[in-house]
Amino acid sequence: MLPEDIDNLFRDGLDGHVTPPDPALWARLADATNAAGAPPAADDARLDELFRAGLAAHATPPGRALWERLEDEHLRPPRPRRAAAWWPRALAAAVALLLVAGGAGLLWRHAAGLRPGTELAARTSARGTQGTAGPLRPSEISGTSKTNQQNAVAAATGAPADALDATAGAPKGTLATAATPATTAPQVARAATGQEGPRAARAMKSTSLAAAENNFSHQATRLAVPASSGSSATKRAAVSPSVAARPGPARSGAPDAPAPAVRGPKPLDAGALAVAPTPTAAPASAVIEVEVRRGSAAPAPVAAATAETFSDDDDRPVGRRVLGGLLRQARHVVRGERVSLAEATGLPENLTLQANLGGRTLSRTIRL
Amino acid sequence: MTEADLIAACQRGEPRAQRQLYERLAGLMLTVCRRYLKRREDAEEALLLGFAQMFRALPTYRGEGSFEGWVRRIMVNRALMELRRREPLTLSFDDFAQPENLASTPATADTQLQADDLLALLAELPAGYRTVFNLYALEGYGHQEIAALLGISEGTSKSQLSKARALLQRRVTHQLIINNEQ
Repeated sequence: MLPEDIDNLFRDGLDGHVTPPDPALWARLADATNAAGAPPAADDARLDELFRAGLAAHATPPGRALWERLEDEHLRPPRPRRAAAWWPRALAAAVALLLVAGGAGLLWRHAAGLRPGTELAARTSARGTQGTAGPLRPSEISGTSKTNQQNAVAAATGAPADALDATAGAPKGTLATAATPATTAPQVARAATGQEGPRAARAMKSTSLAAAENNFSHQATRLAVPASSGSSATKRAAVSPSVAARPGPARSGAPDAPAPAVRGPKPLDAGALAVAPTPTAAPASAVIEVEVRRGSAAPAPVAAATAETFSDDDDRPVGRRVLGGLLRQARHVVRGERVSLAEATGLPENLTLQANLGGRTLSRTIRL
Repeated sequence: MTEADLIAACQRGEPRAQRQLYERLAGLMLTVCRRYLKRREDAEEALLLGFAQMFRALPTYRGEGSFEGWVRRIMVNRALMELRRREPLTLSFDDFAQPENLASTPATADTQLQADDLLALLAELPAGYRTVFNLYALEGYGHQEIAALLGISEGTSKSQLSKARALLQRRVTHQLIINNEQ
């Protein structure tokens, strides 16, 4: 067959031939035409409406803590709602304070422990008639204490009676100086009557004798001054009840020689200077008295001090006691309880410092 | 207690009223914040700061217009501020959707998608697309306002909106297919 014949064959066979299309084809074409020809704004509006309707009324519940945060951080920030943020700092500060206080207490006790007898009864007095008696040295006090403990007991037991008598107006000039062991700082108990004349002279004599006998003359003679010149019937004495209760040979009518007594080491108050309160009418210009005392109460009258206050039954070493106190306070801090500096260091809760200067009584109570 | 009474009590600083107002609006406003911020924690932070700002500004509220709308504007502003901190807005204004990625099947309003699905779709958008779409389509801002608010040109705002829509349509369709298969 010639090539020209082949061309004619296909041309004649296919020319005018019709292939019917699938009916679905038109539907697809129509969809495509509509989609292509639709304005884009309609689609956008539908999409916007989809999100707007779906989210307009939708509420997402917030977390429970969100309101508390809003309150704490923005609405009422000063309100201390949670203490957890500051308590570690407070704990650290408390521990540091306790350590410092404990160290100070240890130093104090250590310094006090170097002194013999650890109890000091000293008085700084200036007198016109009897001269000036310097402050007692610890060695003197110690020696006196050791040698005159019996006298101290006698004075302690006898002095209250004298003191009471004198308070009642008995014309008896007595001076009783006693270092009470229970207070750990010797307290000089003095009973003075407002006697003049021979009584005063006798009192001076008796106290001088007592002082010479007890090797403590400077105190006795010094104390004679207010007795001889005083006109007031006021008499005050501080006597430890523990001493007063102690059986011992009482010397009735004894002139109550000064007798500092020591009962074991009392390192805590060894540096304390304890002098009995002075009579109000004593020649104040001649005597300067300083008293450091536990507690904030006024000087105890006769046998007013409680023995348990001054008792010291703890035989543990000082270091262990202080360490125990520190640990107790740390436990208090952890539990949120009250912290006591006095308990931590073994120091008294209150210290009262009282000074009589020129007729004026200055008193100061320090709370630890 | 009516809304006016509640607002007055809040203006007096009554804590109970403040709590009540918070409980009434917090859910709605958290959804607003979630539309702008991907992470729920960030949205809650914006809600927190927005409420704090609202309570501070409440004494100046004069009762003009819808109170909820007033609060919503505060929340939107706060969410935008948070968005700038969390997701740098300018980095997302690059062209993201190419023409071949655009949907050919339009989403319809009767499409059944849950709100969480829609929020998830919004969260998947780049920050710029999401922000412009939210402001224009859902809040009703104009392009001029959006441009001023975001510091962009009006043309950029229109472009971002167009691309955001195209991307959303495609993803909505995809989401519908997934939902139908489930």
